[in-house]
Amino acid sequence: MNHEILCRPMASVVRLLLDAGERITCEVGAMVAMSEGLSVDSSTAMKGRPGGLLAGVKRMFSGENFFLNHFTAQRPDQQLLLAPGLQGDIVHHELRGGSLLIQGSSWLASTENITIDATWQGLGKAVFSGESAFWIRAQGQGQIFLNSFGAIYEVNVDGQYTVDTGHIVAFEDSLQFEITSAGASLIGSLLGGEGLVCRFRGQGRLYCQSHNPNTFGSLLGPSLKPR
Amino acid sequence: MSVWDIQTEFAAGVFSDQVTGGRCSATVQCEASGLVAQTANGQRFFLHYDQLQLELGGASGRMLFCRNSDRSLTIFCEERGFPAALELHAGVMLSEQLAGLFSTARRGRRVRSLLLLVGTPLLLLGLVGLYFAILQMGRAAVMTLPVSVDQKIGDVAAVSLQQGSVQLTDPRILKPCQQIVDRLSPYAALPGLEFQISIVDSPDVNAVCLPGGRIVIFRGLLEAAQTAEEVAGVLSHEMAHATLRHGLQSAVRSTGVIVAAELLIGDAGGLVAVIAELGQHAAITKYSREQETESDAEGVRMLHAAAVDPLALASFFERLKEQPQQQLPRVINWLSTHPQHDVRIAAIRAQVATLAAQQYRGLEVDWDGLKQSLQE
Repeated sequence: MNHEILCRPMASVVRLLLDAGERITCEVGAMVAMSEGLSVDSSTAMKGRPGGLLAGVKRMFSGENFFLNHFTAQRPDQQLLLAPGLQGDIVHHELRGGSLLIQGSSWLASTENITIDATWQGLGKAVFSGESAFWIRAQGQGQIFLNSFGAIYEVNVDGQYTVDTGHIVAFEDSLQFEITSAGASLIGSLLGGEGLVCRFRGQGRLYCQSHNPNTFGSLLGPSLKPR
Repeated sequence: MSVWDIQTEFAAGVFSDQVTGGRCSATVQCEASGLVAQTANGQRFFLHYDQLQLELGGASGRMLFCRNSDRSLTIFCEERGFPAALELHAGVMLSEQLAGLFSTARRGRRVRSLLLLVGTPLLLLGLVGLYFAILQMGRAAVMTLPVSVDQKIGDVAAVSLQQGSVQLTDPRILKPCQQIVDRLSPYAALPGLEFQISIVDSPDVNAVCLPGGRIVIFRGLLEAAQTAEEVAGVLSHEMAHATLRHGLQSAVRSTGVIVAAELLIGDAGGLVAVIAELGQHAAITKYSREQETESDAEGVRMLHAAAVDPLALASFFERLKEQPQQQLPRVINWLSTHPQHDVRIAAIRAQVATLAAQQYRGLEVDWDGLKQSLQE
């Protein structure tokens, strides 16, 4: 399967080229356009992987959809274009074992050898991380496409790295993060406008997004007319 | 457990510049002199036990990272049996590091569990306490509001209270009632209230004084009372609800914590809006037992100050209590909101006994004319 990410970073679309028999699973509503030799079916679990109704419900709590769409190429050289709901970037991650933890709504698509499951991030992180209470855990070996609000930047952490709440897209399971104040004093951090931040420790890859969808929503919301 | 029962091969991962992307999955084995990691494409990595630097972390907090001194190679594993296998094969070379790591992790877990165990009930208790504190302070803040707020709320409530009822406009009924109120009103605890009366043609033995001073007297009360002093007794009690602002406090209680919080910052707009939206007098004329007791005491004080015999209120209660059973449904309207009247009669008598000597004067109203007009 070949891929090309177009129109980066604010209106990214991923163009996939699938060979006969190749399959990709993506979030509901992500398909922009496709060749006629692709078949589509929906289910609550990855093809050939355990899951079901409960997996679908858990995924909903993480900000994703109850259903997943599976695209399978029936002939060679089939093209599929995918884009996320929010305007922003797309990044490709190759998972070679282990797992990738993805913030709710940032998972766009993954190949068939990858399992997608929702995982609880803990009470403190659920309340203060600025992300969903549940994360998506992607496990296995294969390709994953992630999306963001704004541009995505990638960091190879070795030691410590700090990200503002609401700016995490995904991180490898070899990283650990905690919610902490941006400065030495919590009150000082709050007054400085930074407040709480996510501090990562360990070694691994981290994807961050340049913009915070919640901040954008709270700026835009008051200007919208009530329906 | 013997050494033969210990698992020696584990699913793991490698961080190294020599693998594509810097990270890949591997299997790791604990051998006699060190760790050997083998990737799927046959790359082999070795870390000698005596150069290992261990670290615990990862998203789960249980991933064990084994590094060389310059951090150019890391083998990491999350499997449960890996630390034990490592300790068994490396022996004293790593036992101190492993013990330190796991005791720190255990201590951290204990602290977190303790915080959760103690913190959760404390947090819940704090939230419940805050909720009631705001409600309580909101009710207290009612006393600082201007009287115009009482009047606005009273106007709204009066519409729903008098909806569909017929008003009695006979001056022979209205005038004596207004005279009774005029005798009491100079002694009201809250200045600025304008006590206006209206009489509803209903057999219910009832009277209501809404916030702001609007008084609604039901015909049944005037029929049940034997003297003007008894009417004065009931009205003093009802007027006390308005002067002590019980209606506003009840409204705050029934409208919730947000309105109470608004009152604390001096904004009564929410309270008025909620009452207007509810459009019901029930929200502000449903008093607690403590409020009834307070109103009895305040009523007695007003009667005494106005030189009207306060025992008239107690005698009215006593007579209502002795009403025949078949008449009770009519009486029940007032009594149902005023429970335990034996206790109240006793409390009124006890309070009267403590009052300074007072020369009580009868109410100079045309009581016979009122009674006659009611019969007509």
